[in-house]
Amino acid sequence: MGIDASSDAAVSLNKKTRVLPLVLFHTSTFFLFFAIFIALYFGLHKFLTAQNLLVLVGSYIFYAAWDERFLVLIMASTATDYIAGLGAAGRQISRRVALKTAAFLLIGSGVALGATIAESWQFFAAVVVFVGAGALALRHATGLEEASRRKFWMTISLIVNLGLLAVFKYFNFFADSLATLASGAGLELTWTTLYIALPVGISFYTFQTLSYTIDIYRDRMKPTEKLMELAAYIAFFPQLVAGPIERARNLLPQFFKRREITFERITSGAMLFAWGMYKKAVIADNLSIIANDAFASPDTMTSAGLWLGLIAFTFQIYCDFSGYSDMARGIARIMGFDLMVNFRLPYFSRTPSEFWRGWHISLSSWLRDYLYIGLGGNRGGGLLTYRNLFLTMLLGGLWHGAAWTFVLWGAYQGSVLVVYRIAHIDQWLARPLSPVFEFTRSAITMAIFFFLTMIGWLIFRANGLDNLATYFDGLFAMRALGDTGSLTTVLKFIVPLVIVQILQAHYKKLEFQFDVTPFLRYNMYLFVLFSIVALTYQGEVEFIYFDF
Amino acid sequence: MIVDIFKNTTSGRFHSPGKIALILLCAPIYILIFGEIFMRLFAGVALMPRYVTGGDDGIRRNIPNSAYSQTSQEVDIEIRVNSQGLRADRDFPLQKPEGTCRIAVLGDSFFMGYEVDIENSFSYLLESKLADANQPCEILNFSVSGFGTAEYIVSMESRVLPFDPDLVIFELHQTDLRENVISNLFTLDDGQLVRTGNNYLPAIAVRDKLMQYAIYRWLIEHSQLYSVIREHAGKTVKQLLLVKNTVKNYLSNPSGATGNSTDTAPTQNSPEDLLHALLERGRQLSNENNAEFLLVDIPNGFDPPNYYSVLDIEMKDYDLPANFHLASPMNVFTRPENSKKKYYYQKGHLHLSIEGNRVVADVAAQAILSKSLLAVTGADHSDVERASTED
Repeated sequence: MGIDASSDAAVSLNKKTRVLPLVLFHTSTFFLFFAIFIALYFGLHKFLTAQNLLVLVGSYIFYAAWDERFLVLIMASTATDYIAGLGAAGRQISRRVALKTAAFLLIGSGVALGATIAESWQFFAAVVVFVGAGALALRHATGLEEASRRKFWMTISLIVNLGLLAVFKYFNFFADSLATLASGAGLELTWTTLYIALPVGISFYTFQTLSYTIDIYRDRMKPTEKLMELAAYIAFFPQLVAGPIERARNLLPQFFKRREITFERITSGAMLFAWGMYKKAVIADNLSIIANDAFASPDTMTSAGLWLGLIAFTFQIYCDFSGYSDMARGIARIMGFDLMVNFRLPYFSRTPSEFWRGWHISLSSWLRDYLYIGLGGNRGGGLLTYRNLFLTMLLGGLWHGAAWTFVLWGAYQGSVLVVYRIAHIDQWLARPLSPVFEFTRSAITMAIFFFLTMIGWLIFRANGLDNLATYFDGLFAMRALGDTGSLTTVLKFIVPLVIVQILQAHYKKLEFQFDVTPFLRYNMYLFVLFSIVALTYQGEVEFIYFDF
Repeated sequence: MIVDIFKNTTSGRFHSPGKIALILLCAPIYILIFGEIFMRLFAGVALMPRYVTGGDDGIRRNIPNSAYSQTSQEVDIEIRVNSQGLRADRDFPLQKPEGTCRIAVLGDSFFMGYEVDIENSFSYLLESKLADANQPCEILNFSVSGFGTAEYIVSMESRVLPFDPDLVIFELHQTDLRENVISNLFTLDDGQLVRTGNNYLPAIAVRDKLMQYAIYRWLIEHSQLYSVIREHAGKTVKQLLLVKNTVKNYLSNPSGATGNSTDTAPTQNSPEDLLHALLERGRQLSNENNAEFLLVDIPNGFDPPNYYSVLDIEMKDYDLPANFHLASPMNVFTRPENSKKKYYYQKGHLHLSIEGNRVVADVAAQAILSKSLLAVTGADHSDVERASTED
């Protein structure tokens, strides 16, 4: 390809600003924050508006603990989609609404940047310019016909949200890649590269706000005139930095009714949180040591070591991300909110379509609803459907990070999806067989697809294309199979998870604990509790998806 | 939901009061047994008891004449303490015999030699190294697990100086920054070191009481569950003390005490300032008593081979190498050819391994000899220097 992909991967994986403990759910700092927050939250149970305001302020404090400057981006996105949502419904924006939104953005930015205004005045200046541009857009939209006005505001939402992503996530990637490509052709391209830290969670909340306006534009929901509730929905701290990407249709209405807070919800939320913490702090973080070692120097590892490293990463990424989602859902449940299930036993999938119905469901369904269907879905017949599938996965790969390995991973997932579709594997699997053959067929197809998934994670995790090639070569080179020192560690962390997932599949329920006897249930609780106490990795490992 | 353990699963009715009482009685025992089995099967927790009590000088000391074991997946060693509370197999006369050279070592569990037998501890290896270089010197190890620099200073005045050492060695480790704030024995008042607390004896009263019982002594050396609980409790208490003392220092001096050396305004009461002042005091006390003073850096070994030293990070602005006699194994630890060497045990409490102790003793011996920190001179030091450079 002639492009130094390793440097791109380094940008994505290494050149990041350290995330402070407050935004890591499993740290004592977060526990302290949440203890104070939830006490106030419960205290305000009878006052819905005050409770929503607390959620908004708490969420902004939570995010500002990482970097208060980037709070301005969330506010800008919120202000845009508040107005754009109303406009996309065909409404004229009143002066009162416009002034309220401008005040929210200017005062909010002023408060957020207040302490550091001397160093970050550019951010405030950008907000002022942004408000000015908004005023011009409002003036322009007022004179438009309803249909054009709806389209106009929809376009504005797309430009602002995708523009934020383009600048803060992809600018360096494309600028550097273009410069490298040009220098390969003997051209010297010089410009100042914006070495901006990737704002945590930007990919999540921009997609969330976009879905709000698109759904209104498509007449699937009505816009809200309540700015504070919309802002609280967009910045809702349990899922702000790593999802699930909640549709406004599901989460926003929950801000308009008094939340149910019961002992059962609190305890089940706490247990879901503990299960997520077990997956993240115990399984993912411990497996990360083995995976990191393997990917750091694949040329010095034996084939067995590389396979173990890849298996370790396969479970690390699942436990890291699904663990975070479970924690987010657990926290939200304690607060009386219901967030969507984001993972549903993806490693038991037999085909890619099953996998994407169980992996990062909030993103894959977002891509399906707003990208794949937008591209035409399967309406154009064979070739067009394959193209749409491929493009959706390619862009889905790029969503994960600004690096060529992510693009390649997206292309790989798209290709696998297309090949399975051409071969009609899903239809073949839908044909009933006798139980013995059914089991055998499922086991074989599951094993094949798990292998393909692992290869996908190899592409995803590799530190650049050279690293990928070395690792891939080492896997199949059969270089000394003797080194299995980490096998026990890998098994120690994977086996309990697999047992639980088999039970989840058996009971067809993710939270199956009430379907088993109290004795077994309490032993499971004790196992998780003691694991968290004794096996939590003592180093600092951030959530992988914080980089996305 | 929670109470269903007290109910009959089929009828849904509560058990009889007697059965509920039995469940309440048995549940804690079951949890403890479950926990112990879990730790042994899945966690393999290191058993690192520490036998410490309170000293008359208000700080901790090793329990005299104690002997206990430490075990992990990597080590199985014994700690023996003499009647003076030093890790040694013999007692030392207070009066230094004529012509004897003495070195006092002050540190925490690293210099106490946790996870290694005495023959492989820093003090013992340093003594051997100096003897090999024709500079025999007896080494008195005053280290106590959990100590910080503030406790070294208190210890120097009450325990060390009466032995009239020729050289005092202070261990320098990243945890000193935190320990000095937690102990609250000293603070800075406008840059001046002030003794604030009379004593720092965390959980010693409880520990002393419990140590009277043989079952407790058996437990601390054999129960992995107890070990985990103790570690978590210790960490939590320290964290709370750190918060409390930081807030207290901040309230007494809002302009400083932030602990954040990256602030634009210069602070004079940060943990780094406090550590620096304590080191200055250590040197001053040593020099006033005709002893030389040496700092020995113990890098952080949490993520080998990515070691880091407090000298290069938190204390970088203080340029300690220019202001103190200092020995650091960083150059040896971070050489590419040494990346596979095991300088720290990873399955226990991250103490120096035998190899780690050997390297630290080597660099300390080299510093002592090359800087002529001991009064006895004229010896041939080539053996030590060669050994150090070969590492």
